[in-house]
Amino acid sequence: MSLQVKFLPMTTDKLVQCAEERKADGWRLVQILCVKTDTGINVIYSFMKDDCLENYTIENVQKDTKIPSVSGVFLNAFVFENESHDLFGVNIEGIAIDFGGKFYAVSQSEPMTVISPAQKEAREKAARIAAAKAAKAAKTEDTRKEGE
Amino acid sequence: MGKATVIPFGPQHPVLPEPLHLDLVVEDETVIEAIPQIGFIHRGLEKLVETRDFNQFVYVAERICGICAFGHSMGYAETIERLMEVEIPRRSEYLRVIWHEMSRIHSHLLWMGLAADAFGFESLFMHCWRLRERVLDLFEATTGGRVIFSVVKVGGVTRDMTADQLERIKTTLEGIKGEYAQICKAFLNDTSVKNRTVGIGTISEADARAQCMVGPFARASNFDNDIRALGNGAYGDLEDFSPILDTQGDCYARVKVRALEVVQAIDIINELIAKIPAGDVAVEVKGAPAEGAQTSNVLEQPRGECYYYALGNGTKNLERMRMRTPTSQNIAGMTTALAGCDLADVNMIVLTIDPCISCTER
Repeated sequence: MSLQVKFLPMTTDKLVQCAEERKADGWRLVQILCVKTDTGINVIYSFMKDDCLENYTIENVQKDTKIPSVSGVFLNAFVFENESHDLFGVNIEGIAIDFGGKFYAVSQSEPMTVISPAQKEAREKAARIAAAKAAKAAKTEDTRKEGE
Repeated sequence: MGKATVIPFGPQHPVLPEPLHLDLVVEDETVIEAIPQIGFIHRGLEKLVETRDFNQFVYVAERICGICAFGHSMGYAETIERLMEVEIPRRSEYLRVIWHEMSRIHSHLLWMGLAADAFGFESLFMHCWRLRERVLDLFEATTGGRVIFSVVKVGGVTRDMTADQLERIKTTLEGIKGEYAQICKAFLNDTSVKNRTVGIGTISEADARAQCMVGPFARASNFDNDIRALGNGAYGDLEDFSPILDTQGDCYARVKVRALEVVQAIDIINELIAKIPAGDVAVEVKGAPAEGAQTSNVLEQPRGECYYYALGNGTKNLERMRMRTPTSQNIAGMTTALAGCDLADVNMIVLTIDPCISCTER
């Protein structure tokens, strides 16, 4: 038996139903995390049973997107949902123990959504590397075609 | 019943090694509800992946916690190796597990000492920590550090152990075993200990499953989710591994599970020392995690399962790193255990989940 990791898509309207089905089937909620992207926030819900770890991603969550809480199904979710709200500004409705933005004592609101200069530079560098790779691949393809 | 009163508990309290606040709603001497709050020591460590490359971040990861420092560096490195599809030498897998199980011994001994202190058994507290010092001596001899070891790197470990060092570990742990048996007798048989632990803060197996509890806290309620049983790394080479379980689900069961896990950890170390293969202890890791590559991983820390997530962006810096620590999972279970307990038992119940708030907030 070794750990099997999967990443699967999820939508806000099917989230609670998925959590209920998972719970009924003996799965447990492992965690909820957020990832800041250029266009919004990805929220990832992880469930585990035996050796299978499934990560469900709701992509591109916006400020006005309302996500239903799963703390009614898994109470332990309230920690992660308050954290997602305080650190990323994710709008989660119906948290079992809702601290209303006062779960973490942070000096700046939504600190994890701030794109630091270092991160901006890293992203630009990655974009340049990707562009250079694509140009090189295109040039190689052109040379190959000319050769034919 | 009397009028409901709210009693604030923590974040500064003699029984709490770290800042956790509870609003205890009590009627007379009975706790009706406990509302937890953390957030006093959030350090933003996950954000540091933007300014530390994936090799440097090992040293940040192990500073998440002073007790499970080794486990965090190991869990982080395993996650990056999974992300970059790096296969590390077998010897380094063995060395990691030996150090990790030694961490479990020192973590549990530390906790048992704190528990003894909480129920007022001072000499028992001192004996637990005296034995723990001998484990820390082994860490110092093999890594150079007693708290932060810095021996894990992405691709393996930075230090090998000599045959003499492995023999010393074996001899010292065997020596500890005899004295530890005496300490266990006090924890498991002494009437004054039992008075404070038996039947206190009971959580049923159904509740443990519903609250998704992890670690010894869950296993004391017969909820088996020990990640070591998956056989990752050198754990897969163990002849026979069965998690320590108990069915009572009270404070006593939590003490018992941790007490027995110390002996189990010594046996695991002895078996791996006998089997450890020769060879390199690290491989060179070139390149960087690919853009958009993501993975997750779990590791059984002394306090329970820890979850790791990593997302690459094509550079040496990760786009996102996430560590979900065991205490985050056990806070909900703790509130369940506190509901209906006597006010005088709150400190024992809080302590028996072995909370680590620094880990939780990162």
